[in-house]
Amino acid sequence: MDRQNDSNRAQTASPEAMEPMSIQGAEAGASVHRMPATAPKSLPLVDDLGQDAEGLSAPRRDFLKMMGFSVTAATLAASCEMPVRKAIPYVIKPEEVTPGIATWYASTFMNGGDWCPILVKTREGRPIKIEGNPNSPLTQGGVDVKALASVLDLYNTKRLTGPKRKSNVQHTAVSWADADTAIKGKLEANPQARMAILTNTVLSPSTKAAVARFKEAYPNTVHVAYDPVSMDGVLEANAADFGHRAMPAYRFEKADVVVGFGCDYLGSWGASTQNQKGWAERRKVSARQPDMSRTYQFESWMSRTGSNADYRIPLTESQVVLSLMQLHDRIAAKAGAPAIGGLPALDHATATARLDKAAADLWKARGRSIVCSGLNSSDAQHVVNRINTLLGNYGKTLQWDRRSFLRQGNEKAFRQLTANMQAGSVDVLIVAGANPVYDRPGFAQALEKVGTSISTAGTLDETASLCSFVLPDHHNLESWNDAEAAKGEFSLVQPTIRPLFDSRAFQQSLLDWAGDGRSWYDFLTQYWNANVLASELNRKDAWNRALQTGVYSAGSSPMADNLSGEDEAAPAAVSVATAAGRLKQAYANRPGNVDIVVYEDPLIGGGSYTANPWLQETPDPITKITWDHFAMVNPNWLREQGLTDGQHVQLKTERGTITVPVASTPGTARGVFAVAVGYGRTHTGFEGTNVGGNAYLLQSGERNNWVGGEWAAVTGSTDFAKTQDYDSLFDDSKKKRPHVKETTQAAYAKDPMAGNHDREVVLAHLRSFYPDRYRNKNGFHWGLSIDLNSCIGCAACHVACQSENNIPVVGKHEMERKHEMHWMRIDRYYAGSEDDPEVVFQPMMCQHCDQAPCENVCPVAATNHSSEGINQMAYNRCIGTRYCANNCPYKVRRFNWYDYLGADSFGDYNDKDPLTAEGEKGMTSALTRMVLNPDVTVRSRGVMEKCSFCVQRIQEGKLEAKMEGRKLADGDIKTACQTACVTGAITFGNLFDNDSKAYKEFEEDARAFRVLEEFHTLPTVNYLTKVRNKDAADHLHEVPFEGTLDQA
Amino acid sequence: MVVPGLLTRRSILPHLFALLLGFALSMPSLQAADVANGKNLYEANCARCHQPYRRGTGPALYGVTQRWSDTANLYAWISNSTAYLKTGDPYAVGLWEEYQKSVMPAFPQFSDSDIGDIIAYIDGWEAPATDGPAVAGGGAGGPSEPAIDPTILIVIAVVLVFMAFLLSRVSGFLRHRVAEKYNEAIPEPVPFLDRPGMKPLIGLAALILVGFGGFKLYDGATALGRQESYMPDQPIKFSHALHAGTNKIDCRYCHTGAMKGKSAVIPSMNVCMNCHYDVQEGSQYGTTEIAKIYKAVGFDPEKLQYTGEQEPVEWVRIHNLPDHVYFNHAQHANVGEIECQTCHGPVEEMEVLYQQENLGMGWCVNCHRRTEVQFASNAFYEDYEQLHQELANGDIDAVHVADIGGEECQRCHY
Repeated sequence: MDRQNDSNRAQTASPEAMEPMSIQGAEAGASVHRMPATAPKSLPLVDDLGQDAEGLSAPRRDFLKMMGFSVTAATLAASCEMPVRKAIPYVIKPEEVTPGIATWYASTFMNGGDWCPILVKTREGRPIKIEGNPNSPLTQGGVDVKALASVLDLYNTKRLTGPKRKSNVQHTAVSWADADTAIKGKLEANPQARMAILTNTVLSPSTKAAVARFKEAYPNTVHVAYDPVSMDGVLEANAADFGHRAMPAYRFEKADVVVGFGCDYLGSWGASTQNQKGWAERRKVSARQPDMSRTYQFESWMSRTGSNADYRIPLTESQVVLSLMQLHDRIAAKAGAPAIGGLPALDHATATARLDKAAADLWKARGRSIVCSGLNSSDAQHVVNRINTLLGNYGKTLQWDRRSFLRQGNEKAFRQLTANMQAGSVDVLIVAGANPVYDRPGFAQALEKVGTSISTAGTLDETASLCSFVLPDHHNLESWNDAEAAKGEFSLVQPTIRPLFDSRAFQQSLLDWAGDGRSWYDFLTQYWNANVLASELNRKDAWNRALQTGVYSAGSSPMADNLSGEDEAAPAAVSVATAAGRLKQAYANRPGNVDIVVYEDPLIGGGSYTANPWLQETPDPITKITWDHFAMVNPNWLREQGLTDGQHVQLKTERGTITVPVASTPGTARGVFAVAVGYGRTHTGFEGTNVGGNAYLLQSGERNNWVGGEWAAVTGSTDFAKTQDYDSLFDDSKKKRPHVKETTQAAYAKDPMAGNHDREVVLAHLRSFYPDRYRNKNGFHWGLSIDLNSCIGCAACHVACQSENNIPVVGKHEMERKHEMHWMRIDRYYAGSEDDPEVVFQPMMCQHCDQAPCENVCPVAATNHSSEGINQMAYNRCIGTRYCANNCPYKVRRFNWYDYLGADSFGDYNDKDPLTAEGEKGMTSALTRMVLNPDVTVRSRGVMEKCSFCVQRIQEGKLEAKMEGRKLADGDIKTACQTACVTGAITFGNLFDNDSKAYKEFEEDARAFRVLEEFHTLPTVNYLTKVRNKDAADHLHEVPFEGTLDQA
Repeated sequence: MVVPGLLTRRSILPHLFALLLGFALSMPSLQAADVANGKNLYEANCARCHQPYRRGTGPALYGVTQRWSDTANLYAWISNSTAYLKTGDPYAVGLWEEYQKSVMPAFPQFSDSDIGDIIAYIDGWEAPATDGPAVAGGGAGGPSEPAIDPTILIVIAVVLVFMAFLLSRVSGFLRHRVAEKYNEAIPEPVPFLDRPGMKPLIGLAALILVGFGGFKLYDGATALGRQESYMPDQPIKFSHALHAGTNKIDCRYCHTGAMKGKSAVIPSMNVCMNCHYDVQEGSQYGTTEIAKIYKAVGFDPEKLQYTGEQEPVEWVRIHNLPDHVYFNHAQHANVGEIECQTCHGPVEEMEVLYQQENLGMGWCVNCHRRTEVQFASNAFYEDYEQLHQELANGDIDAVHVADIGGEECQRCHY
């Protein structure tokens, strides 16, 4: 690979690219309004032949030759005979399928403890899109971004096509019958063999029953569940304090004050989809109801939650623990309870002041507040539990009756198992749905000592490649299953496609080996009849209803609370004093000179989503980096160390060492490296996703997810493929960018137009010579409104859009060249200092301007306006001048530099595959193309594309109303981004309908504004001012409006 | 069967015929039955399940009177088979079991004379031919036209032009030799292009050539990828003229999706079997084409049983739209109430289906300009308040598709 060299050469060719380095040095320790003057990064102008773009020359003769060739080629291609197209109907058509009409199934996304009830859209028998299931009382239609992307995994070209057996080094194909004979032979020869079934959290009660059935046949079997990113400490503390080895239901919708300590509850912690839903409910404000919750977040790195918090206090992770104990003492003092005492002071006076404020707010909101901690430490959790008890939150905001089972992993049992394996006392190991060789360092060595190892992985991952048998399980969308995510709340998994490959349900294997004779489906239904549906009068009917709706709420659950522990005694009670004593001890003796935080990225997860190209290409909401692993560090601290963005560093803890590039990220506490797990995999199957370092090597399965360590810069640097280089909400002249507006809750309560007064001036200046064509009440005028106060930047809309609209994946190299194809992006802006910034997210897509600058400059009228107010794009008319993109003030148009999805007739010559090696097809393979939505054109090379307001959904909704002969109702048509938005930030509707929610947000809400409205482009995308629940004095970054257009 | 297991069906037929002849001779006209009434009743009530010479849902009826020992029993059986079964007549029970215990409906409306008429009609049938299946007469192909192949004409024209050229050269050469011989003045040869009047002529020719060529190029380029009058051979010689024309089967009986969604749906083979379970012989190709249905769907016409061996039929698609065009049948056929023939041509007259229209964008858009929207009858269009107002005021007479955005790109391209 000499691409590194090439980009270096490209950089030397443009000297201005080097300049900003000196600026950075001079401005170290920047002032309040001087935010990341991010270097205008030079674009790597490298062509695909590996030559400098500057070095290329095209002599006239070559040009003529090329032209002659292309003309001939085009003539030949055009004069070829029309291909004979075949139409092959079903021989016997299934009743529920009508070609051309989607069939929806209710199901559940499930992967270990990641869970979400979903609706699956299938076309002609293939799943193509996932949405949240509105029937679920838990998620209420919310959907996890990983669930949305899981449909792509179904069509992963690296999936195993059948069972495999290891002979020497290689795995060779074997038939199920042969594999069964071999395994059953071993099992039956010695029914007393010591066996272990190793899984991640198992949510499925019937799978647990199948495991129990297996144990009946082979009594020396243990079932061990662990989670890649463990919450064992939290569970253990809850078991000791409350007798429930589970998490309470966090009712954020009932909380006035939420204080988090390194707890990314809007990202990957706990039941995140439910957390997001509940939290956002308390962030909806209106002129009549201006109250909202207040959120404090004490954390070391910029998490999803921290970026949305009203008060975010950056502290090193060791100080976060300290601040948690200090909060305890403050609350204890108010409650008259014993304090911990003897706590060292925090580094920052501001942090102490904020802690006082948080304590006061919490005490005021007793019974209406939540304190939570993301530390996987039972000691810290004891303190948290104590604080919540003192505040009287249990039974109110924290409820045990619908407690969550989403994480059940037991580290003690896991450690015991590895010890047994090491000792050679495990004969057969079945690894189902877990990848411990990757996420538990040292497991590989233990695995070598096991006689027979069986993996049920769908791809040849790190663990499977070491196992003696790989017996692939179905993909989630191909299988039957059930889940109890919270006590008494069940959901069902039903197949939406016949298994694509020769795979078999893991539970079926267990039943077969146990000699049960039943099919897994029969076992599941019988289990439901006997247990879940036991109280139903008509069980058949209840089953059908549960299957149709996807969910089932049982009055009382038959399940025990001690779900995964094998005969584990309830842990002994621990006093707060003891717990805090241990925490203080740990704080005093913390090793190393920096804090290394290991976190779970909400997009990539614990490692099982690393190979998903949609998730890899979705920019990290904060750093905006795609396709890469990085360690977040404080920008000022980084400069003080004399390093630059992308520099490789070696991080070292007592456990291990990894090398990652640093990403300069405002808001990271000084002296903290925050590294995500999920990277550094070696067996994803795709070269492009085997990147970065394995953070599990630093710390895994431990009681803490942070550790003291050391760092050293090493040679090498990475050019990140970032989608956003403009960071600050203030421009260089310290003028606030006008396109994001925000205010404080106090100001908003007094004046609903607070923060938005400049709009009055802008509107007064806007006038047109043209008749207002698009305001005649005739049919429909579509509009999209986004509540910035509800948007948490989770990127679910982003992935939903990609799935709905056949948006290609372009790969890291193209992303580096800013050739991303996403129709929507979520802009992230900072305000304030780099040490302690405020963050705001702004989803940005085509604004469908009624006076669109792009339309005027298209020489072939390929982009023009529809009578329904849509800025339409006719791909087959576009000749690729890109004038429109240049003239778009919102930069939302995307150009197809390649034939990314294999759309055109030149086939292989144009196909660009971002994932795989030369000559191998990934996204353009026939298998992966099955995920495409047949109602949306697959764009070919050389055409422009952009957000269409999901015009296919509009047309579908209109047609449905027409066929029923009724008027279109508000809410009949939903865009893909809208359906995916957990927090309900996105509203779509007809602006001609004065009763529509969209109209009300556009025209009646005082918070309404449009981006760059002064250009008079008349966008039909509306935004609502962000309201921060902060005291005016703390909201440093609001620029007072002075009342001239210049200011606006 | 009369003598089960001893004789094949084919060899028994002459015997039956002889038997029938014997009957006919020995008992001439027992009573005057109304054969015409019998025919009507038979076609209205029996023909759905009973074929004359071949088993269908029920047994073949030719020779039914000979199979029943007692005519009274036959009358009772026809009148109410379920009731008759209870008598335990072994022949009736045998029949019932042979035909998968499917019950023949009772016909309480039949008087004895009606049944007599039907039987008289059946008895009037001629014995079936004994030698092989009937072969459709005449050539299978359409009427051959004694047209002259245009290439021959072109070849003749080229030869003629060449000969004219040759002759003119020869005559010129001869004239030259004559002049030489008689020492006449040989005119200085004027280059062809310098002859008077040639330049404007060439200019004109060039203009015509460019104009005509340009037109042909444009015409050909727009027609690229179009398949007007495309009439490929299909794997099964299915005749729309017979099904939709003669038999007047509604288009939507087979094309079930046309009113529901995007695709009109090419019927799955089980739809064919709704009729062809019984109709095992066609009027034109006999059993050969229908046998292809049976092969595809896995059906044994002798035993009337499904074998489970299926094999999809690969029809050749005729009406193709490019991938970047979104077309929805429901919008046009259901909401717009457009006749199928508007776009597909007189399908009910097509022996072999072909593409009538060019399906080009100009053709689509022209129709959108001409076609009126079902504005008054469909409540959906109430949202177009301004147009309703204009209609009420008499400013416009009708609302066409183009008036509500039917000419816009993203109605069809997205």
